[in-house]
Amino acid sequence: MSEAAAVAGAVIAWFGATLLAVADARRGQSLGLLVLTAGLTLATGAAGQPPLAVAALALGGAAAAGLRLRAGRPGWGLFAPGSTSYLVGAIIVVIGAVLVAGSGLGSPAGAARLGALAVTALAAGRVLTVGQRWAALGGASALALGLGALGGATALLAGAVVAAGLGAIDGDEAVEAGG
Amino acid sequence: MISARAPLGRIPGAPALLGVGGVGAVLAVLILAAPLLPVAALPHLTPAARALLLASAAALALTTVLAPHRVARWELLATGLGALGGQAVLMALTDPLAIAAVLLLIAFGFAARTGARPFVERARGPAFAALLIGLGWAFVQLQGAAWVGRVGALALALGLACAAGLVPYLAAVDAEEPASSSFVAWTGFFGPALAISLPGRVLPALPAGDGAVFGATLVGLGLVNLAWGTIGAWRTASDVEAWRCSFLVDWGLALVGIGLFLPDGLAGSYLALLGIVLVRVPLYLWARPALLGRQPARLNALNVLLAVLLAGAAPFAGFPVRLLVLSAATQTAWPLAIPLVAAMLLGIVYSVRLARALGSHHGWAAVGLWITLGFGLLLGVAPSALRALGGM
Amino acid sequence: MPPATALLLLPPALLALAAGAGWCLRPVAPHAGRPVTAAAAWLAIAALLGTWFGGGRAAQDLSAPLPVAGLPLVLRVDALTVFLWLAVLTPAALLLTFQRRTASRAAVAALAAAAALATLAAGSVAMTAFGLATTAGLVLVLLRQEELAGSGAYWAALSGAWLLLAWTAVVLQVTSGTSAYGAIPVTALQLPPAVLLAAAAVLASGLLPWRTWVSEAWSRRCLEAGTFAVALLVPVGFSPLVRTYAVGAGQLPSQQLNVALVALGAFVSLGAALRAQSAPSRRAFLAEAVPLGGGMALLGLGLGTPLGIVAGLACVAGLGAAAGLAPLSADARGPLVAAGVAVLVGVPPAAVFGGWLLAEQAALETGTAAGFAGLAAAVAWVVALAAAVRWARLPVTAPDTEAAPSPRGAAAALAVALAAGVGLTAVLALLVIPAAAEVMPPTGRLARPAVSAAEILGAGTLSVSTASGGWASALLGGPLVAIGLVGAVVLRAIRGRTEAAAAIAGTAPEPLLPMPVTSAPGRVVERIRAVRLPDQYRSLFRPALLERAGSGPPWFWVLVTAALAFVVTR
Repeated sequence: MSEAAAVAGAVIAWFGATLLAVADARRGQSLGLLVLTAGLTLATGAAGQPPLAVAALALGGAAAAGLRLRAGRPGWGLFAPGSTSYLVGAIIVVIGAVLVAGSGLGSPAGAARLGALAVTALAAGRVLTVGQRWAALGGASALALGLGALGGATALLAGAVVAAGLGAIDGDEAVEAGG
Repeated sequence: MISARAPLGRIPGAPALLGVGGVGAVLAVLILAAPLLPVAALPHLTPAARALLLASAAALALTTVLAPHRVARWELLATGLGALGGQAVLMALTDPLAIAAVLLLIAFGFAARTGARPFVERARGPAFAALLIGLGWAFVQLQGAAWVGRVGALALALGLACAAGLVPYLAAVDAEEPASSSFVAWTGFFGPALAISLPGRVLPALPAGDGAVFGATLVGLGLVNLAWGTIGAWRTASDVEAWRCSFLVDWGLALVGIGLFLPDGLAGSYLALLGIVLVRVPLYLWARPALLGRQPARLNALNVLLAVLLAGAAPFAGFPVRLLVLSAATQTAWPLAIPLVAAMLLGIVYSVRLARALGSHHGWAAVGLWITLGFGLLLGVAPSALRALGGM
Repeated sequence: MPPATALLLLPPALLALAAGAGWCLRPVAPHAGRPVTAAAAWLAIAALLGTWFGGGRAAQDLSAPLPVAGLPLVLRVDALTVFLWLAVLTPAALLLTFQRRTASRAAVAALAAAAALATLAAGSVAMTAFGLATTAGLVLVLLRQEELAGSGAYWAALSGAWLLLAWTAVVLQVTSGTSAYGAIPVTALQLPPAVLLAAAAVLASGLLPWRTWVSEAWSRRCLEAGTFAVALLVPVGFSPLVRTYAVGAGQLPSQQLNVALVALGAFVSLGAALRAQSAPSRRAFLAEAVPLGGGMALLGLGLGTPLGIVAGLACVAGLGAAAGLAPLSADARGPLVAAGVAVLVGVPPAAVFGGWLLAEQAALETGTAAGFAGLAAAVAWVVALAAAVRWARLPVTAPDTEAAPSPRGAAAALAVALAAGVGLTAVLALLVIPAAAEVMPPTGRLARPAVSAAEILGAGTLSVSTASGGWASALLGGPLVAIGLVGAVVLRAIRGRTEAAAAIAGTAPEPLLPMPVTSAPGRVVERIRAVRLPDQYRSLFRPALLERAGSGPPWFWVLVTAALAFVVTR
C-alpha cells in the first residue's frame, strides 16, 4: 500500500513538474507547483518521512504555488509553442532517473526518491533555460522542493522554507526593467 | 528572452532590505553563539567555519565603514548582514541537500538586487551549483552502481567550483555592476563558506573510491583555476578581469589544498580562504574607483606594499599558504609542486598591475587600506594562532 | 634569553629602532632620519664587533616559543653570521651616511637592512625564505619610492629566489622533518634540494653571465635605492649556498654541482668584465663591479675545498666593500675616484684584490678542471683592469641622471676597502677563516683537514701563504698605490680641464673587445614578450567565451559536467 502510494506520488510529482516546465503563464506554473507538491507530499509520506517535515513540505509548496500567482504572464499558458522540448525532456528525465535510481524502485523510499529526482531534474532544466524572472523563480521553488524531498527531515524542512521564501521574491519583470 | 537591465543606483525596497539585514544579523549571531545558548536545536559551526564567519564580519565592518562606495552605506550594511546570515546558515547546516536548497534561496535573493546583468543570468550559476551539490549528494547516498557514486562525488566537487564562480563555470564580469551583485559575492563570500564546510560534511560519507574522485576533481579544478587565473591576470587587457583572475589563483591553491586531504593542505586552504575574505575582497572594493576610471591608477609606497601582499610574499598572507600547499603537494607527489611553483612565480607579474589598479586613497579610505594590509600581515605572521582558532 | 645572546641581536634591533625613530620624527625633524639611521648602522657595527669578540666568539642558537608564519623561529648567530652581517653592514653604513635620501627613504632602508640581518641569522631554510621575501619587499618599496621604473628584473629575480628557498624548505621538511640548518641530516641533502638552494643563491645575488638586476640597478636615474639593494641582497643571496656546505658536513652532495658552480662563477666574472670593457658610461662600468666580485666569490665557493671556501668568503667581503665604494664613486672625479676604480678591479692592496687572488690560488690548487676556470677568471680580471683604463675616458654622467654624493663618501669607502686589504690577514684570521670553519667542520664525510689559519696564513707574518704561493697584499700594494696616485696628479696637471670637459661631452671610446651579444638577453626578453597567438588561430581560443557560457542556457556547463562524468565512470 505504501509502495503504491509512493509510486503514485512520484508519478504525480513528475506530472506536476512537467506541467511546470510547459507552463508559459502564472496559473499554469502555480498549478504545476501545486501538483508536484501534492505528489512529493504523498511520496515522502508513504516513504516514512517524519509527518511534520512532510507537512512542512506541503505547506511550503502550497505557499510557493500561491505566491507565484502574483507575477508573470496572465493565464494558463500550458503547452504553448516551444514546449515540445520540455515534454521530450520530461520523458528523458524519467528514463535517466530510472537508470540511476531504478534499483531502489521496489521500496517506498526508492519510489519517492525517483519522483524527487525527476522533479529536481525537470525543475533544474526549467531554471536554467528560461529567461523570465517569474519563470525562473517558479522553477527554483520546484527545485527546492525536489531537493528537499531527496533527503530526510532537515532537507524537507529546508526545501519547504526555501520554496516559500523564493515565492516571496518579486517576479515582476518591471522591477528589473527599471519601471 | 533576456530581461532588461535595471538602472544602476536604483535603491531596492528599503524595508525589505532592512528586514533581510536584520534577519541575517540575528541568524549569524544565533549560530555563532549557539554553543553558549541552552537551545539544542540550534545548528553549530565547526571551529574553522566560526573563524571564517568572524573574518567575514570583520571584513564587512571594514568595507562598510571605510571602503569607497557608490551605494549608500546602510544599503551595503543591510546586504552584508543578510549575506552574513546566509553564510552562517550555509556553514551550520549538516545536510548537503539542505545546503543546496539554502543556496538556491541565497542565489535568487542576491540576484534580486540591482545589477547590470539580468536577474536570471546572475542566478543561473549558483542554481546550477545547487543542482550539482543536491544531485551529487543524492547519487552518493543511493549506494547503487559504482559509477553512480563516482558521478555523485564528481558533482559535489564541481558544485563547489560552480558556487564560487570558478573555471569552468565562470560568470561574466561587468565592470559597472555593483560589487555586491557581481562575482565577488560568490567568489569572495559564499564560495569560501561552502569550501570550509561542505568537504567536511560529505567526506565522511564517501567511500574510498568516491573520496578519491572528489579529491582528484578538486585538485584538477585547482590546477586549472591556478593556470587560468595566473595567465589571465597577466595577459588580460581588463583590470577588472585581472582582479577576478587573482581570485581564481587563491581559489586554485585552496582547492588543491582541500583535494589533497592532508593536514597541511587543509590548513593552507583554510588560510587561503581567510585571505580571500579578509584581504582580497576588501582590496577589490578599494580598487573599484580606479577600475571604473573615477580615479587614476597609481603606484605609491602603500600600493607597493600591497603589491608585495598580492604577490603572496612574506611577511604577508600568501606566504604560509604557499608553504603549506607546497608541503601537501610534495608529500603526495613531488611533481605536483612544479606547476604550483610556476604559478606562484607568475603571480609576481600581475601583482604590481593589481596594486596599481588600487589607485591612490586618502583620509579614512587610506586608513582602511592600511587596516587591510594589517590583516594580511596578521595572516602572514601569525597563521598558527589562526589555525588554532580554526581547529586546524 | 641570555644577555650575551640578546646583545648579539643588537645590530638588527638598532636598525629597526632607528627606522622607527626616523619615521616618527618626520613631522618635527624632517631631516633627522638620515643621520639617525646612519648612526645606528655604525653603532650596529661597533656593537657587533664588541659583543662578538668580547663574548668569546661562541655561536648562539635562539629558539623562540612563538612561531612566525607558522615556522619555528630559529636564529643562529655564529662566525658566519657575524661575517655576513659585517659584509652587509659596512656598505650599508657607508651608503646611509653619504648618499642623499629623505627621512622616509632612510627609514625604509634601515628597516630593510634590519630585515637583511635577520635573514642572515635565520637558522632554517624556511626562515631564510621568509626573511629574504620580507627584505626583498621592503627594498621594492625603497626602489619604487625613488622611481617607478627599473625594478621589474629585481622583483622577478628575488621572488624567484625566495620561492625556490621556500620549495627547498618544504622538500627538506618532507624528507627529513626539518629545514633547520643544524638539524637536517646529511643524507637528506640530496642533489635536488641542493640545486634549488644554489639556484636561489644565483637569482638573489644576480650570478648569471648576462646582465642581471644587480647591473640593472645602475641604469636608474637615481642610484641610492638600487645600489643599496645590491649592498644588502647580494651577500644575503650567498648565505644559503654557504650554509649548504654546513648541512652537507662540508661538501655538496654532488661533484657535478661543484663543477657547475665553478664554471658559472668563471662565466659570471667573464661576462661582467666584458660588459665593463664595453660600457658606454662610467656608471655602466661601475655597475659591473659587484657582478665581477660575485663571480669570483661563486668560483671560490664552488670549489668545495677549505681554501676555496675561505677565498669565496673573502671575495664576499670584497664585494661588500665594492658595493659601498662603487656608488659613492659614481659621477665623481679626481684621484680618489681613480684609486677607487683601481680598487674595484682588483688592484692591490684592497680587500677585493685579496679575495680574488685567493680564489685564483684555490682554483689552481684544486685541480686541472678548476684551474681552467681559474684561468678564465684571470682573463676576466685582466679585461677588468683594461676596462678600468678605458674608464678614464668614459662620460661622467648621462644627461638625464641626478648628481652623485660628495667625494667624502668615496674617500671613506676607499679607506675601508684599503684598510680591509692591508689588514687582510687579520680579516682572514678573525672573521673569514672562523666563518669558513663553521661550514666545514673537521668531522666531514671525507678525510679532509679542518679549515685552519695555519694552512692559509704565513706564521708570524702579515702574508697569505698557501700551497701555490705566498704574498702580502700590503707590501704588494703600497708602491703601486703610491705610483698610481702620483701619476694621477701629474696627468691631471698636464691635461687639466680639457680632458674633463671631453669626458663630460659624452663620447665613449670604442670597446676594447666588440660585444655583439650584449643586447641578446634583452632581445630574447622582448621576443618572449611579443609572443602572440597568430591571428588565424585566435578564434580557436577565446577565453571570454567561457564567461558568456552562463549568459544563456548553460549548455557548455552541462557538456563539461557530462564529459567529466563520462571520464570518471570509465
